[in-house]
Formats: sequence, structure tokens, C-alpha cells
Amino acid sequence: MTNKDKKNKVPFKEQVKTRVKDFQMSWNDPTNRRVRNRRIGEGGGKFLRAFILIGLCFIILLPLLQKFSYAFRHPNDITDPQVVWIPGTFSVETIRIALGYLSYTESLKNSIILAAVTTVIQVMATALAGYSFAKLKFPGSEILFYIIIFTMVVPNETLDLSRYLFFLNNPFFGIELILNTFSIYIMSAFGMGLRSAIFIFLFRQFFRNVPIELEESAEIDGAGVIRTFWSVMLPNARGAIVTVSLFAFVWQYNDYYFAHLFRYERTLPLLTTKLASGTGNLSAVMVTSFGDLLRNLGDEIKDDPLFFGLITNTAALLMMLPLLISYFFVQKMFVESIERTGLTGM
Amino acid sequence: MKKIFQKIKESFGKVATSIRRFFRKIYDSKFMVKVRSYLAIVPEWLAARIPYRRRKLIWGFVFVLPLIIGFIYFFLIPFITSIRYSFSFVENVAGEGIRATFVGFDNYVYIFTQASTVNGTFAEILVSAVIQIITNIPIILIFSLIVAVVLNSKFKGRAFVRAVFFMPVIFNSQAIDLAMTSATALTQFAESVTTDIFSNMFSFQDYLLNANIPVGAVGFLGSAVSRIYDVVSYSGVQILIFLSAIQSVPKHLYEAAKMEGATQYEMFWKITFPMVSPMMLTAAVYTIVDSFLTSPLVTVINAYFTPNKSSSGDLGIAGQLSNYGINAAMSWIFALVSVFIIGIVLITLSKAVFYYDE
Repeated sequence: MTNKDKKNKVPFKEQVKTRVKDFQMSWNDPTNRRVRNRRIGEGGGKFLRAFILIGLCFIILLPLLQKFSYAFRHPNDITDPQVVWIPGTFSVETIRIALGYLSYTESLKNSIILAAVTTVIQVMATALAGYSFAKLKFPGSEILFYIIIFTMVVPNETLDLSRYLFFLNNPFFGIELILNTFSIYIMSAFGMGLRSAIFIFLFRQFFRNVPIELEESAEIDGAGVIRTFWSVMLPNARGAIVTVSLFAFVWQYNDYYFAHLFRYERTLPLLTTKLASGTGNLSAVMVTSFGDLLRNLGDEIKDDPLFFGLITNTAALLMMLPLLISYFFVQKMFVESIERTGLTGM
Repeated sequence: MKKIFQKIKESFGKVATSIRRFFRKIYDSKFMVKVRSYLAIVPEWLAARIPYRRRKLIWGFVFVLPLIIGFIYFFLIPFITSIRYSFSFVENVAGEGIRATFVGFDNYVYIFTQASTVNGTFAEILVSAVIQIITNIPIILIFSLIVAVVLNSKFKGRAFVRAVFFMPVIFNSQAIDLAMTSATALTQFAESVTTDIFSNMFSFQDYLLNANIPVGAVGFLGSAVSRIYDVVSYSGVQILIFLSAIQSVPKHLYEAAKMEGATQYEMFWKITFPMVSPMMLTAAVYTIVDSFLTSPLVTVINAYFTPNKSSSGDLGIAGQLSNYGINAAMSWIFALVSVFIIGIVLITLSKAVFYYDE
């Protein structure tokens, strides 16, 4: 028994050798190698992706977190060097003052209505123009398009005074623009609203990428230009429409330049004009017009520039908050609508 | 939580359907049918007489007509006025209004010889701004394309990451910037606290220098890292543009490539990149415009004209009007430079762009 066993027993060296050989075989096997490489690549890619994305998210979120931390800080804690992130005493005092300073509910309502109506007008005006530039080329349309692109290159701020004086002395077809709450709507309807040129550019690029066969088949089926635009082109440009309306809304909501140009601060309180109204002399504005808001605070705080920084910070956060909240609702819809559009699946 | 979301969604859906029904009713009412038949008279008349190609031209012009009117009234005339102002000395005369006296190129000469701020002369700021913009274009374009590709792939927490990346787009507001100028004390205070923690804990640049990496490379890395917040916050729109472009690429192209055994890398260069390239143009133009509008030049220009920001007082223009001629001349130089850069970028990029239907 034992002898036979000994004969059959492979020496340890041999055993190891065969094991190593097997391992080498499987290691060098082309199929295994491909599988292994793919796994390593995927794992490494995943790790790298997670690393970069987490870092970038941190960079973006840091200022926002700081704003939140400021919002819940009591004005008395402002000079305390020990309070960095977590408020010493949780209080809504700062938020209360900022709410009063912005006259929040009224200006929020006005801002949202203004932005929503402008968005609808912008989408209609710019989609028409963009379609015309992409598919309905008439003599000179190319030149006109580049001129329109030129308008977005010139900073609006630099035309401030000449625009203001011109509007003041020359009403637009008999409509007084300055001190008129419809001025921004009129401007958007005529394709010159806030960054309309970018939207026109976006629509043009989108419509250019629609295959010409679609248009030709619509023509053969007897559709006119308007029918083609309405029933064939617009449904295809759903992604562009969603993108443009989102940006039109956000930019109009955040806009200060046009609101100030038409002196909206006199006719219609908006969040932006309210927020910017105290620039440079917030302490004076607060003490004269909002004295009753500050009655709970000591005199040494009322003179502290840090305190007014705290209030502006919180006011800015309050201005962003509705957008931020609605953004988290819209985000999914937004991405889905992009995914469903375009010429995918055709 | 989920139930609440469901309820909100349902209620939104109900509101939407009721609104749709309402409009449908109006649309189908007898009055609207009549109106529509009247509205259709002109297009039908045109369709009967004019061939399709000609009609396309006419409608193309009609679609653009409001834009032309708006352009002339809202942009061209004020723009030409500002050119006129750039060649004149502008003053506000009591009882008469604005008076502009022609002075030739004096304003331009003044800008390039004497105009200066704390940060240097106008020419220096212009050159540094242009260099910064030119280096920003490729960085932002590549970064946003990579991020768009990453955000398009499937992984856990994608919705959250996407939401975070587009947040800076929401925060970019001039009003917030303006308001924050009065909050500088607070931000400085905050920076003095937070940067202490980060910089003392671990100095990356010193570490690299100790590892015998050339000083120039370390400096470049350092500046790129310190600019990363700017890059991230300025590329939100570009990421969105690329993302929507990637998602509109026909899926059958990828399927065919997969059947042929193409790798992800090859698919990116052979399919995604060419199909996305038209949007590269949009993104590049947007990048240039955006970086011009946020460059330090604008603050220099605005320093020469501070419009009256207060909400009280008459409708007249207070502020330092005597410098408005110089302000106008500066904005002209600014516009010319940016048009020049955009022209160069458009020409170079348009050669690389691929259109699906051509």
C-alpha cells in the first residue's frame, strides 16, 4: 500500500510546477486576459470617476454649505472666532431680518411671474428665428445671423446709458418703455431679450441637425412651411425647447440689468432689485427703512460691516432657494425630456 | 416621502390635463375655427400661387422680421449712439439734457496712455484678460465634454451629481454679485478662517517642489488647481449643451459599432465626438462670451461710469457722467477684441465640425 502510494505521489516540486504552469496557462489565456483587463479597467475607471466627481461636488457645494451655515447664525455670534461652521446658537433671527429686507413673498411672486411669462415669449420668438436661420435661408440671412451673434458679444452694461436715454426720448411704436412693467416682455417678443442671441444660436444648431429628408417628406405630403415647422420640426426640437426655457427662466429670474434699465424697482418689486438696492450702503438703508426689524439687536452689532455681510449672504440664499428647490424637482423631468428627444430611435 | 412625491406629481398632472382640456375647448370652439379659417387665407393664397422654394424664402423673412425690428430699436441705435459718444466729450447740461461735443480720438488716446486702475493700465488688463480667455477656452471645452460623457454613463447617485453640477448655473446672478460686494468683509473673514485650516494642514505645492518637480510645472499645476472652481462654475452651460448633444446621437450607430467589436474609447472618438462637434461651436462661443462678461475688464469699464443705483430721486442720470465718452470707447475696444477672438475660434473650429445631413 505504502509503496504504491509513494510511487504514485508526485514530488512537491513537481506539484508546484504543474500548479504554476496551470496558473500561467490560465493567466496567459487570451480570453481570460481580456476579461481581466476589462475588469481592471472598469474598476479603475469607477474609482477614478468616483474620486473626481466627489471632489468636484465638494468644490461646488462648499460655498452653498457656508451660506446655509451663515443663515442660521445669530448676529451676536458674528465676531466669535470659534464659530466657523456650526452656529453657536441656532436662530432664525438673520433669516427674519433678510425676509423683511426683501419683502419676500411679494417680490418672489413678481419675480416668478415675470420669469415665467418671459420664458414663454422667449421660446416662441427665438425658435422662429432659429428655424428661419437654419432652414429657411433668404438672401442676407447668413449676414443677419452673424450680426445677431455680434449682439451677444457686446456687454449689455456698456450700452446702459445710451439705451436708457434713447428709450426715454423715443417710445417704441408709441409704448413708453421706461417705468413700464411690460418692457421686458416686449423686448423678448422682438428677439432681443436677455441673451436671446444664445437661444437663437442654440435653436439654429438644433434645427440644422434635423435631417433634410424629414422636411422633404413633409413637403411631399403637402405641408406648408408653417405646418412643417409646427408639426415636424418643433416636436423634434423638444430638447432644445426644454433647455432654452430652463435657461430663459433662470436667467430672467436672476436678471438685474434689464430690471434696472426699465426701472422695475419703482414699479414692480423683484427679488434681484431688492437684493441689489442696498449695495454699498446697506447699513444706511437698513437703519432708515427697516429700523423695526433690527430692534432686538444691540447698537454695536448695527454698526458692524460683518453683520450686514451676514444679512446679504442670507438674502442671497433666500433668493436662490426657490430655484434650488424647484430645480431638484425639475431636474429629473429635465433629463428625461432630453433623453426622449432628438432624433434618437429614428 | 415617495407617497408625497406621487401625490404632487398626480396633482400636477391633473392641473396640466385640465389646462390642456381648457385650451382644446377654446381651440375647437366655433369662433376659433372661423378665426383659423381667416388666418389660413394668406398662407393658402400663397401656397396656390408661389412654389415651395419661394414660399420658404418669404416665410424665412417673415419669421425674422420681428427680430430685425427689435434689433434695430433695442440694439443698433443705442449701439451707434455709444459709438458717437466714444468720439465725444459727454456732459449733462442742466435744462438741456445730454450734450456730446466731438473730440476725435482723444478718448481712445486717453485709454491707452493714461487710463489706469489699481491693477495696472487698461492695456495691461486687456492683454491679461485676453490671454486668460484664450487659455480658458480649451480647458473649459475639454473639461465639460469629459464631464458630460461621465454624467451620461450610468452609476449610483447620478441624479445627485448631475443636479450638483448644474447648480452654479443657477447661482450666477449679477444681483448676487452686486450684493456680495457689500459682503466682502464677511467673505474675507470667512476665508481667513477656512484657508488657514486647509493651507496649513497640507501644502501640495511644497510637497511637489520637494519631490524635485520643476518649478514651472508646479506653478502651472497650482494655477490650474486654484482655477478649478472658476472652471467648474463656468462650465455648467457647456456641460448641458454637450449632454443634450450626446443624448441626441442616434443609438443605432453605437449598436452597429458594438456589433463590429469597437471599444468604448473608439466609440467616443469615432461616434460621440463627431456627432457632438456642431455643439462644440455653440459651447465655444458661449465660453468666450461668458468669460468676457465676467472678466476683470468689465469692472474696469464700469469704474468709469457708475450709474445711479438708488431707487429714489428723479429719472435723470446722476453718476459720473463726465467720463461716459471714455466708457463708451472702452466698450468699443472690448467688443472689437471679442469679435476678433470669436471669429478666429469659429474659423478654426468650423473645419473640425461634422454635420450629419451634409
